[in-house]
Amino acid sequence: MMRAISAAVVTAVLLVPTAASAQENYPPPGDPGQGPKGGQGKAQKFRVCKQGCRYRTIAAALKQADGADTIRVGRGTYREGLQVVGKRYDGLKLIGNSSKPGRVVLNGKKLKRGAAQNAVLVNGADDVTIRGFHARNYKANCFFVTNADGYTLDRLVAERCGVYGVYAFNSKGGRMTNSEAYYNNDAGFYIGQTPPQGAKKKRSLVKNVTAWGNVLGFSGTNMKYVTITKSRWYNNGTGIVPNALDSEKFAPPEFNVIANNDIFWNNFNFYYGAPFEIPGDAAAGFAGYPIGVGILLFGSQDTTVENNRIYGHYLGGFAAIPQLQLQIEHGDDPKLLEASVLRNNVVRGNQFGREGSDRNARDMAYNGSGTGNCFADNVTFSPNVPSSGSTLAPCPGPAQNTVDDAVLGEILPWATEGKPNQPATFEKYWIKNPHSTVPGVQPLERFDSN
Amino acid sequence: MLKKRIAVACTALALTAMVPVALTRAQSSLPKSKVVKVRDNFFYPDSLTVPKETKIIWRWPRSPGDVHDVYLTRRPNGVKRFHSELAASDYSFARRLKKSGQYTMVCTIHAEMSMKVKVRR
Repeated sequence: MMRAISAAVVTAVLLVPTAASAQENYPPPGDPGQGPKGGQGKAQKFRVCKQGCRYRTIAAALKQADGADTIRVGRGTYREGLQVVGKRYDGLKLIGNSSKPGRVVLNGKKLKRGAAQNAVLVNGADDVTIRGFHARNYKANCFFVTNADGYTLDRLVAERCGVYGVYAFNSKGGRMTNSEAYYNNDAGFYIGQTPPQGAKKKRSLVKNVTAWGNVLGFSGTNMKYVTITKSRWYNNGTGIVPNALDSEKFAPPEFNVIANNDIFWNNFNFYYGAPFEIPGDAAAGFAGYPIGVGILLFGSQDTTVENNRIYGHYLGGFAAIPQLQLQIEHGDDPKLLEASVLRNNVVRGNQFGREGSDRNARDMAYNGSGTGNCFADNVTFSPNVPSSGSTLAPCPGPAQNTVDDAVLGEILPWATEGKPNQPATFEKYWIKNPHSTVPGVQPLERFDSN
Repeated sequence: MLKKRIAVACTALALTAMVPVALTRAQSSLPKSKVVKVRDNFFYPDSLTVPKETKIIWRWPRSPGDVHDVYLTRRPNGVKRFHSELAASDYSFARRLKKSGQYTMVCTIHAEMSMKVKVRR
């Protein structure tokens, strides 16, 4: 979960001693696996449907299946929370309706206890394919893969789940493609805690997906080797947020590419009302999220942001800040201190402001901290922060970027001054420019249940 | 008749007097339970000392937060590992700790999130 810094957090962080031994017994999913073992027997096909099939529930078919098998699910609504757990399922294919996912619905409403949490949980099974489902109303996630070497999440719709829409954790070599996530009360798509890899990296791909109406379009806590491309991120609170956090292992986010996306109108002030429940513990130290930013690098290294079309944001199109919370809380931990720093990030060839017809409040904001960060060939129509552009070094990035302390003073309040019980505080620094027309999409700034 | 009434009253009184003693004995032999709150990103309390046979109940919040689980890592010899669902809200998970020793539970999603239980002999 992406956390925003608040004055309260900073104060609390200074007062609360850290649990030095917290990680000593952390379970061992550091390496999610060596790839699929493959099915043990001859591949079988299972058919699930409401009438006339051997299996009427997907769970019943899962009990009989193993990794070589394909389970095809017919039209209908299934009130189940599915678990695909263990190496036995390596390579399993769970297929709904690829062309019309809305015809095969997983609905968590009225389910109890564990079944209500995740529509599909894949844990410790490699190269599982989930394709052609529409999941809604689960208390945790719609589609969730953890501890996997390889996964395919394709042609899915994730709606109104309690945390994330489509989520991969501690996994590598995955694909999230051709899918849509909306009205999820954290991120529509999320890749967290990618394990470090040896010489041969298995990248993950997020392609041709759409996220709208979520708190965040995409969140990437400590994610690595991920390419996000040819996708649309609009009408979320914030668009795309790679972030370094101590709550998950393997900080920072690094070696990521965000390229050729449409990122626009991420100004959804869900604190005024939303079709999902807003997490209620903001007062305990989480101030809330800055609303109105297209891409926010909250700590990142070796990340490329290029050829995106970024427009219509009321705070800023692109912003990069070091992860200050790590610096404050873990000043004595060299690894986390290093993870907080912005290094070798490249921002180039992005088109801001849709040729002036749909300008961001500010196009690019960067305080100049870190090393090797550079900016090239970006087309802008709004002021940058700083307005002089002094921190926006040309590529290749310099050995040491040049800091302008005034920048943090200007952009940190975007995150620190918002109070969830006073939604207007999230709009204090908004500069609203007129929007252009995007076929089939209306701006969503406040949710109207009608 | 009066004697009989007095006798009944005395018997009732005696029984009544015995009840608290019996209840107290029953209560003391009843297994205890402790509730641990599962929050973002901590267990509360994160350290417990309990007698054997105590049931630990982990309770998730009503409102959604992040996803957490309870996974037993360190445990006395012979105790089977346990693992809750990966859940966000409206969920609870319970285990009775029957063997004395040190137990450590973690959330497999959040590296900072762990707790210890010492079960007394």
